[in-house]
Amino acid sequence: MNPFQYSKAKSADAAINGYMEHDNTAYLAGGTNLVDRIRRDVTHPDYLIDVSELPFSKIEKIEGGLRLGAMASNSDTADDENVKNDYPIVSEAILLGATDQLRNKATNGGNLMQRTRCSYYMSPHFACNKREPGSGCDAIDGHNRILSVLGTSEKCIASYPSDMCTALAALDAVVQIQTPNGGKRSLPLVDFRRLPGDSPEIDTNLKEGELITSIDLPESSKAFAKASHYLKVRDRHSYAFALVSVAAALVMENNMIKDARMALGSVAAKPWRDQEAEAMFIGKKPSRELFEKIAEKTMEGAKGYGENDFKIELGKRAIVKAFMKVAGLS
Amino acid sequence: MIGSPKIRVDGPEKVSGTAKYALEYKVDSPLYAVPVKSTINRGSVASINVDEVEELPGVVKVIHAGNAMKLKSFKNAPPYVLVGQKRAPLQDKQVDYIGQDVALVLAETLEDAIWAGRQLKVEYSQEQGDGNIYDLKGKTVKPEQGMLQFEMGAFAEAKNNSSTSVEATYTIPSEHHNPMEISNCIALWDGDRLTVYDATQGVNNYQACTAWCFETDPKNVRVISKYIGGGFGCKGSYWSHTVLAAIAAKMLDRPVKINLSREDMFTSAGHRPRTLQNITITGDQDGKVTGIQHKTNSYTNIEQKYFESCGNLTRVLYDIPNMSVSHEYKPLNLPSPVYMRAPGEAPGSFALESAMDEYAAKIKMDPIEFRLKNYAEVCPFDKKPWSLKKLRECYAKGAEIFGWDQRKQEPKNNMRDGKLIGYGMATSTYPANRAGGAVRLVMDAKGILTVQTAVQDIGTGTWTVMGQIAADAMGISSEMVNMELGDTDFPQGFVSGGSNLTATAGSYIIIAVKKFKEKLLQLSIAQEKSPHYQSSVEDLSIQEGMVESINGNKEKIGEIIKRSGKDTYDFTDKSQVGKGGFGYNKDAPYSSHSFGVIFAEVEIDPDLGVITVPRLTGVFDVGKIMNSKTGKSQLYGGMVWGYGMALLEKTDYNPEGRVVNADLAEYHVPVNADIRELTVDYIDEPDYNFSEHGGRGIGEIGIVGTAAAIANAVYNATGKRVRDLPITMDKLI
Repeated sequence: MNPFQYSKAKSADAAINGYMEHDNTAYLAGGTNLVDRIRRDVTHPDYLIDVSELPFSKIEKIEGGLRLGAMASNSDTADDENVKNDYPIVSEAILLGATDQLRNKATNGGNLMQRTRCSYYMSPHFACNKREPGSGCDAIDGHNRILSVLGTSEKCIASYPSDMCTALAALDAVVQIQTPNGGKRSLPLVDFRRLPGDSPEIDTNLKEGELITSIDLPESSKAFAKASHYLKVRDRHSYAFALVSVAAALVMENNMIKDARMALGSVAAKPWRDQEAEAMFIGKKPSRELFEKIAEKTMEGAKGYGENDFKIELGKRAIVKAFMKVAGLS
Repeated sequence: MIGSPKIRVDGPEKVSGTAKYALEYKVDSPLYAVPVKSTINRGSVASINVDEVEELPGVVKVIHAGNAMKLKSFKNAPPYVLVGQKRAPLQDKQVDYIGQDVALVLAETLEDAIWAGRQLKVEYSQEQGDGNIYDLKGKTVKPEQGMLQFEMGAFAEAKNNSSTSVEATYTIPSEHHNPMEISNCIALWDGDRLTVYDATQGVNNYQACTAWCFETDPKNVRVISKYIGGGFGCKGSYWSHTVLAAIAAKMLDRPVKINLSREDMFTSAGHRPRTLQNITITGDQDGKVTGIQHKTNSYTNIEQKYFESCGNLTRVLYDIPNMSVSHEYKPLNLPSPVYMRAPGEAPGSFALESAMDEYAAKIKMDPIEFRLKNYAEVCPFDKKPWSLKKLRECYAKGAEIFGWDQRKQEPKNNMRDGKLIGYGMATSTYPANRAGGAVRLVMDAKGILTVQTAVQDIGTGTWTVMGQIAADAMGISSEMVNMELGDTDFPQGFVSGGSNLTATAGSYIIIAVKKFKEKLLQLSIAQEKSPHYQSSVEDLSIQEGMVESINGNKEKIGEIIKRSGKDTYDFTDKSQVGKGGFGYNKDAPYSSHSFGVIFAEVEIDPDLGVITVPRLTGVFDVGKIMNSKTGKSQLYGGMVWGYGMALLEKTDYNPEGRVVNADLAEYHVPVNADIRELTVDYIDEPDYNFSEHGGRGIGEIGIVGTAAAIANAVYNATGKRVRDLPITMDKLI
């Protein structure tokens, strides 16, 4: 790997100051993705600021919901009683990702920051606009089986593989951020990551130096705890990224759907939510026909690139399957 | 002793992390070497910024074609010098494929070497190459190698006269071995003598290859390989990492540790080439097959001749009077393919056994009944008797264990808990291979027998099983045997490949031990103070470490050594194969093959196409099993490999010939969650016509047939015939 400087931050302020004072800097948490990319000659930071010991590792009840510390491990989050009871698909989704060893090391904040697993991005031998803006995209006409069918651009079809964030997006999680001027701001998780457009090299809406401190789950989303499911579809039965995943959740009242949440993973550069499609659930009686109609609507704008064409049909079927289960119809 | 489930003698060292693998040996102030690989598929190196990189901190030297030590070419090497890639590295500037070595960076630390390697800018003068594995037709070569183009009877005529036929084309992607341990080594010279700690399936082959290119006597090259973290065929032939380390160590006069990366394993240690197989089976409505045609297309490197011999098993498996088996390959600008577990048989069986299933389905016959109708009582292609064949018994036992009678003949006709259920089966076969070798036996006064031979344990249990075999032959307990393997300082052994080693080394050890016993007993009856003085050797036996005569006199075997006045008594013996031969031997009185049957149950989500394999059952006729624990593990492992071939493994290339998924995240091998219930059983009848202990090799047969059994079960579940591996959900929805 390339030589770089390393320092361990004692406070969030120190971390952010360090970031702003140096060029070509990156925050290092669990390192399960960043270190891989450095080793593989994909990312070349000159300065790494280790934020893993910042005081953001708690999972705690706060007014209005549950706060998942940015530095809490994925394992601790999945095992947390409040997460399991009130937001069970978050736990389900995490446990279907990676392996025990990786989940122990990986953090919640880091999970948000992980980059695409597109093979053309992960090797410097290929053209990739995300890795090297302007170099082109070998994936579009290449082996793109795992890549996106929604929200793509002619510059990039990378997919975002996070299971955890797909579940969090469905439950309206909010990302809490500390900014370089000492302020704080928040972003809905679903808007945290960006679609590629003309600048696929920019993954997120974080600004220079900003640091994730927590991900907050709203009290209101507890209503989905009774009827929710995270469906992950993949080639290998463990230790594989999803081809398609669906976070599905309903609130039922008198056999009718009162509220619904649906997020898709691994089909776009961000967890995919379609509010028009979600609105189609409301006030309806759950049925296969309804779910099929919603699935059609959700995948309406999808575009395949050859090897990944099947993900459009698979996505629809996964939506139906997940909601049939949530509605108790399968 | 033979057959008992003795636990691995190397188990404690392996689980405690004390077993030393090649790169873990401590040597004084080593240099770290990292190869730099070509990025074009054809052309030549025009320039390299060597001076710039040699200035970087920690960098000691950049070796390239312009300054590398010159070696003797492998081009005219004899067959026993088994190299993966005949073009020795850094000998000229020509580039034939992406991933070829163009430079070697040496530095004081591994990190410095890796970093410097990335700063090396190699400029090329590029030519038009062809690295496209997706087109196997066009400018192909038809090898003339005897059995690989095989005609018997008249297939065309049989086809014209048949009432039923099936014809289909099957494709299998390129696959990589991906053992846990990457091919790395340490090379150190002491004057003219070279020692290499390597990960190899054949210490003697690596010795022979190194001696050949460095033009030295093999005695000057010592190769040590005590533990190997998986080979699967990619560590049998000789590859460039050993040459590079030895060149660098010589040029810089320091020990060198060479470090390939996981990505390098996709270009620098061989792979299984993509294949396209076309099969036609002709016959009648009652299930009698009259003719078969099996055509295979694969590819090879432009200078190599390795290709996938998928049709070999078709000559062996069924009694079919008219056969046409042919192979062709396309030379491409790609790294050379090479043997990968059950080369030929594994991909060949997917096509043949799928086609057999298609025929059975067409005439609505039970697939086992169909195979029994075409059972080969003698070897079909040479009409020789089998040394031993118990395939019929395998079918019966396997069907019973698996519950084959629960299978629905009509596809897509079996649901359980909302999932489609399918049953499939396929016949398995693998040639029984055996070669010769030498061994040194040493007995000390405590009665401990040391057995030295230059074979290696690639993780299969050779350390354990050879000890059992030697102990059994000697008449002592296996705790009294001290095995010494994996070092060319011992008498010449043989490569671990083609599932030969247990038959090869096991047999020559038994032959040697028998002679050694005779010599010991002769010594005993000549010793005045021996209780057996002047007895007849025929009246003596050795059991549980005691020499015993028919009249009941006995003593510990070590007493003979004690009285001899020497510390030890030793004997070296070399034997060649009397029967068989490593590969096919036309002079052998028998045809020797192993057989088996694989059964698979699949469970398929009808909505998503997700495939689960709740059960795999294999029953094998592999002669006598040497160790029921390590033996079963081998067969389980083979079936797991077959699962990977059926449902997961696939190397993607870009059109120029660069691997796209060169890592273990996107090149999928099976994990625990994939493998549910595995059952292995065997007939366990010794084949003494083949080997001294009656055993045949078991390293590869578990793979053969597994992919077809799963594919046939997928058909039975869904009515869909997937002829392109791996079978993934997109092919089912």
